[in-house]
Amino acid sequence: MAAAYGQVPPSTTTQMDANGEEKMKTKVDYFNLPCPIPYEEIQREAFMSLKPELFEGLRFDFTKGLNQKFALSHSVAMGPTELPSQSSETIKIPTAHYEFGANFIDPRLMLVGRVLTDGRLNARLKCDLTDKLTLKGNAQLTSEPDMSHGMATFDYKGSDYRAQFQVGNGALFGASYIQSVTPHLSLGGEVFWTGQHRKSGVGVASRYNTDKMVATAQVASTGIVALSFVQKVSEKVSLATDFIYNYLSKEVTSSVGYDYILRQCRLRGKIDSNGCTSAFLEERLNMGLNFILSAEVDHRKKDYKFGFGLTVGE
Amino acid sequence: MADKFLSLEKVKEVWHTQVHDEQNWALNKKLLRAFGLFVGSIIVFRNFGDQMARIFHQATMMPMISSRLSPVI
Repeated sequence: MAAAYGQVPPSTTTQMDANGEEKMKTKVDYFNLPCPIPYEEIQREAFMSLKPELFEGLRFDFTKGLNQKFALSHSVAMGPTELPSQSSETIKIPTAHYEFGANFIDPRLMLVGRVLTDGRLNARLKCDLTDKLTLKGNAQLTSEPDMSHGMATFDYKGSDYRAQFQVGNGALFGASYIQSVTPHLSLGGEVFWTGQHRKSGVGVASRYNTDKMVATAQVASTGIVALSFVQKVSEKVSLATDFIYNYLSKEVTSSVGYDYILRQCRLRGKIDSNGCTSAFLEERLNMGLNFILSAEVDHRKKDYKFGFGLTVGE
Repeated sequence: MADKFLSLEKVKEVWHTQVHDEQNWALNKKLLRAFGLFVGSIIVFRNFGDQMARIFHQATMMPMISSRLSPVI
């Protein structure tokens, strides 16, 4: 109606770009910015593409839903487990274990528990206390002394910011905050302190995302500098690259990878600057039946890992 | 002559410690290779990402098309 009287709406202006085409430029409302991604998930797109759950050996997972909210799971894994060693050679020990799990998933409450044959118990909790406040907890209990640990996290979601406070055993305290600065850019920081080891650290991070790409940068006083870039070519194809440098331990790695979602399968692959290549394939054979293949080849260390498995159920 | 902030001597000194020193150069070489891979990937993705996805899609679709065209074999 206003245009009919020759008036331009106040929130939009027209500009001529390099091609001489008109482009509508919307004025940014800085009091109405979107809520940013949680601080710990700032690199989630790159993480999903470049770090699939590679494994070696056999894996079989069976999940049975008893009702809409409750499900039981049985997992069998057989294969070599790497032991930390100070030499460059990798030491592997063949292991096999069975894991029994129970999941309760509600719109406001999620409980996940896993028990392994070696006596370890893993538990996770996520509870929406209010619309903006969420409580998360995770714990790992073992029979070995001083090896059990637990952590509780409180997340507060504001209109254009998120705040998080963590407390764990061993006098571990942490806090993080992330704020949307523009509709595409968010900046954040974190701080942690461990009373048991008398160590503390700070970190800052930034994330710039559009419909087509996501770029992140993270620096921490623990010595980590992490950069990542993801190009969303389409809904089914993503190309990702990351750069991680630890200036205290003098280690640097860069990876390039892809994430390709076909009708019946999802294929992810990557190669890094240390000459290690990996691939992960998940193929849907039938409804609820998935076949998985994993491969990781490191010619430099002469370490070759191949794995295959089946997942049945959700 | 007053000391300049950036003098030729300082540049030579940095070059000598970072390139001619074996230990430092080993780390710098890894750093340059990794950072070059990262930046090069970004340039390739932004300029040729669509073409890469199209080629990959055609490569994965070819076996399906050829199997449908030749049912006798």
